[in-house]
Amino acid sequence: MNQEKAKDFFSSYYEGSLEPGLVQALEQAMQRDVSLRADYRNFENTYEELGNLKYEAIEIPFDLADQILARIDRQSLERRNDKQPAWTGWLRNFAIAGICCVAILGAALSIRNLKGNSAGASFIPTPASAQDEISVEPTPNHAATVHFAPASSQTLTIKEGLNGTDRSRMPSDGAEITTTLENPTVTATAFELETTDDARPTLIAIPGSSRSAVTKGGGNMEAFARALADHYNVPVEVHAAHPTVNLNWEFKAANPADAAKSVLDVTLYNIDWRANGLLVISESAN
Amino acid sequence: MSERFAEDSILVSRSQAGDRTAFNDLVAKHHPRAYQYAYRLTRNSEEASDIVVEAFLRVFNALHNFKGQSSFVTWLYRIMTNCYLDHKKRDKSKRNVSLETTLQTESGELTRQIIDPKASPYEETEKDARSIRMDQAVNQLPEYQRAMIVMYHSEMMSYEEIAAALDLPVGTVKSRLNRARLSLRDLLSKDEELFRI
Repeated sequence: MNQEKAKDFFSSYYEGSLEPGLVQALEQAMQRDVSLRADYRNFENTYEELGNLKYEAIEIPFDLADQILARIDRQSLERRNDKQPAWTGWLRNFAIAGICCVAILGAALSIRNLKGNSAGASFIPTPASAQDEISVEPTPNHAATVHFAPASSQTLTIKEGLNGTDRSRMPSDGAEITTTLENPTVTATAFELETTDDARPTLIAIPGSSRSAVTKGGGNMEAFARALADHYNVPVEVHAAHPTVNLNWEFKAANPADAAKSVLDVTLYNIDWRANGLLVISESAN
Repeated sequence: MSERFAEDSILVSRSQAGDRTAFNDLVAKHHPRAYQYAYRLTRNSEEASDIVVEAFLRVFNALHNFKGQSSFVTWLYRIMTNCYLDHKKRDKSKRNVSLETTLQTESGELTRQIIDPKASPYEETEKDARSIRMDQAVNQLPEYQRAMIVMYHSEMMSYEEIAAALDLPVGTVKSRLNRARLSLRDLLSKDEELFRI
């Protein structure tokens, strides 16, 4: 057995899986050849060193699962957009233009009403909180109906996420306004509802068509609401004076209310999981 | 893990039927192991994350073709390895940049700064020098050999599992791994001082 051939059997010899005849031939070759013996000793050392590789601790990025699912969602969305015929773009533009017209008309009417009312106003109304004026009702198919009933003339602004772009502005002269928030995407979406008189915004997170298995995460109140909605498949309503507070969560609880209580200070937040499925988180006014 | 998630075969068939929750469970269940494998191959957390994201996207797109002839994990390893090899191929085609060149910016000319991929002195002291040498030696192996070494010695896969993941005969896997170990021995013996017992 020459040196090169002998080296082919080093692994099998070390692992004890070499045939007895070849074991004998290899051992004889190593007895004859000092350098081959030294080669094998080095090989043994290397093999033993390799055994330590498995003990290396590797930290997994906490948001990796989110990155994977977001990439898949983006692909699904791109494919869906590619499939849409060109006329749908026109239709969408027309729809946006229509909404804008209605909003401008509404704003104009409310300004006129404001002017009309101010002359005869005999008292200064105490602004009710947005929480009192806005009520949210979850509906099937990943949507929620928002009822806005202000005590006086006010405008309800709906934004895409916390401090996001305006989605719609709906003025009311005191009459109730009803609108629907829909989430056609796979993951949860959040909306911010802002009223003229209330500095404390309302956040609504609506679950997507798929429930997420992700249990760990970190971020502000919006991210937390979306994570709850995603993981527990429930709509979440948040009234927070400090919505940008930094939170870290790990969902181990069986229901969203317990999960929220495990993350938030219950002396500061009231957590109510209602019969209609809506999870309401309210930061106390103090 | 097994308590929290259903069997892979159940999750796969539910995913194939369009159940996105089942697919999300597959991701949640297997992404840590996938990341560990990718990190061991690349030694770079960003690259490893990219490879894992790309691999699961491929899994999502090809899941309807998965017939269950091998285990889901074996199939995932095959996809991960292909993603890694593709990633390295793209990397090589991008890497042909002269070190002498300068960058033209609005504020003038900048000398190109190259990041040293070796461990910093701090890391050197933190980590055992022998294992650093081993990491560096493994990184010098050709990609395919590196993947096999990581699968066998870090991921504790058997020769049969590696053969199934790489679609190679078991004998080929054994002989290539033997060659990879011999190459490692040659690379490490250059640093005799450290490895002499």
